[in-house]
Amino acid sequence: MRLHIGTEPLPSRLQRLDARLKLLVGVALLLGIALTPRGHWGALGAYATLLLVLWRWGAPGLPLWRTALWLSPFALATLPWLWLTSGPPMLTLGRAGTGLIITQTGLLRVTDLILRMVLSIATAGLIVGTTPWTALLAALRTFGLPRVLISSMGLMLHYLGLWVASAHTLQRARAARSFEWPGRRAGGTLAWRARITGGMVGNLFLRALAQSERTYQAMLARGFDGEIRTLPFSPLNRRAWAVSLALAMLGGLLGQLLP
Amino acid sequence: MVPLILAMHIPDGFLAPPVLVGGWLLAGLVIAWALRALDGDAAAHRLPLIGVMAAAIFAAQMLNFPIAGGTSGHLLGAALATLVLGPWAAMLVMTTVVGVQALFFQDGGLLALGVNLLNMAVIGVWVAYAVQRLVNLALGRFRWGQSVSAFVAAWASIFFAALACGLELALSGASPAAVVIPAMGGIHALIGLVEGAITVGALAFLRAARPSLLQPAPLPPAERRGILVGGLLTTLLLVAAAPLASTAPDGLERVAEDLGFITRATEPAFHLLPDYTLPALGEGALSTIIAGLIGAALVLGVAWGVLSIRARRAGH
Repeated sequence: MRLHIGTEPLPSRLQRLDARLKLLVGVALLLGIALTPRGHWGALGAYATLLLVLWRWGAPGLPLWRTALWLSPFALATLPWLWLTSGPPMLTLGRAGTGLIITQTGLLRVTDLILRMVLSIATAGLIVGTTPWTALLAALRTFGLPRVLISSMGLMLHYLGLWVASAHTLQRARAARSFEWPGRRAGGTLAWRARITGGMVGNLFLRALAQSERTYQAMLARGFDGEIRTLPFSPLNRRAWAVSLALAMLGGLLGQLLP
Repeated sequence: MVPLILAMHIPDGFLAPPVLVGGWLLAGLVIAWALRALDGDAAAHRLPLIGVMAAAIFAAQMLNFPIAGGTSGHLLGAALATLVLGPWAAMLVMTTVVGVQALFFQDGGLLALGVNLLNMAVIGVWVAYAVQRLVNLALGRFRWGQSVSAFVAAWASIFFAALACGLELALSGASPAAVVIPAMGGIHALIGLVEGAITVGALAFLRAARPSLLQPAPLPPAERRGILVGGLLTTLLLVAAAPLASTAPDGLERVAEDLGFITRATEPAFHLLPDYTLPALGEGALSTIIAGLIGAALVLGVAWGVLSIRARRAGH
């Protein structure tokens, strides 16, 4: 999980683009990757090339490779297909007869799944890494996401720094009051440690409840009527919409058009 | 220290389009229902609560404790939010948490967000709520009953969300059903113990510091019906997926085969549903599904009977 809330994206060509257009093209690319039939290697290669070009042109300072190579534990879940997919054998792991037989079809299947995951993570990384969170939320609102969810996400991101700092303070306090004795483990039994951690979580909950009440009263005092307002987007010209729609259509259809 | 990761945020690229659409439809419907329930003045009042609590849950997920062998455990928080705030508010809090994790931290995919919301914000919350209510019906009169029901609810919220996650991956062809469902269930059955222990600890703190916060509300008839319908739908879904389960022998059978003492096993006096099938229908998928339905009905009947006897003794 990358914690970059509070830091503005680095200045770049993609960072200067309107958040609505980035979201439109990004979601179309994600849909295109998801809908690409299995075995269309040309299409997956084209998506990889397109993303590489967008990255080098639009945000070369973004450490996208690190994001894209961040393999989720789900990549492990695909590995059994290596030996459970029938096909021409490639390699035997372990002793002949009882070992696992890796098949060519299995390897292609796993490569296809992991490649799609890496491409999807890179696409999302390009959008998120080049867009301030306020602009991304405003763009989501433009595309019809309910106002309550947008506002609650905005509030969560606004208060995240405060609660993460509180959590760290609680952890520091626990560490300061625990000590290691030679030959004795610090921190009591497993149940005791779980209870203490639970107590810290409960403490955080109680503080958050009190904070939410104070926040509501402060918002009411400033004339809050149920909607958190943001600055409106500047109107987009037709050319920008047309180019973005064309890119979105291309991104969505690439997987169907190429072999 | 390696954290015991809750492997439940499915990334993009793994799920088949029908599963993605199904996830968005189901999660969207239930979340829209929750948003409708929150309309009007209540929405303005609850909004800061949802936003601030979502941030607090996110931060609480960072509070970990050492377990063993260099691993540490932490909280997911769906059960705790449900037991403190009620299921509707908890669902919106978890929707906010999971949404922000996907949108801004790339923990879970953007297209897969519907499915991830279904697992963590819908199934995680309602399973915790239903299990806590049901266990409380049986054990609520004992002093320790509240802690047991919270522990079981927190464990079940993790376990069932993980099973749903495994089922979705299997239906998408991302991983073999016989591997991913037992693996997700097995790992999260252990992680659920951590969730249960932290939830009980948090509730013990809240009970001591602010007892009024945890006063149980009587179960309204509409919610009672909701629990019944939700439970039946979950049962039907799991029974329909039963033919996906592995036909390979279970752990004990495999060991018995390998060590050569499987032949010493004696047959039972009678077979009701041999190998989870109906003998008249053979060994096909339909036979397994019908056997599952009969089994579920039997368990429901026994549970209903025990609870009825208890309610009669309590004079309700």
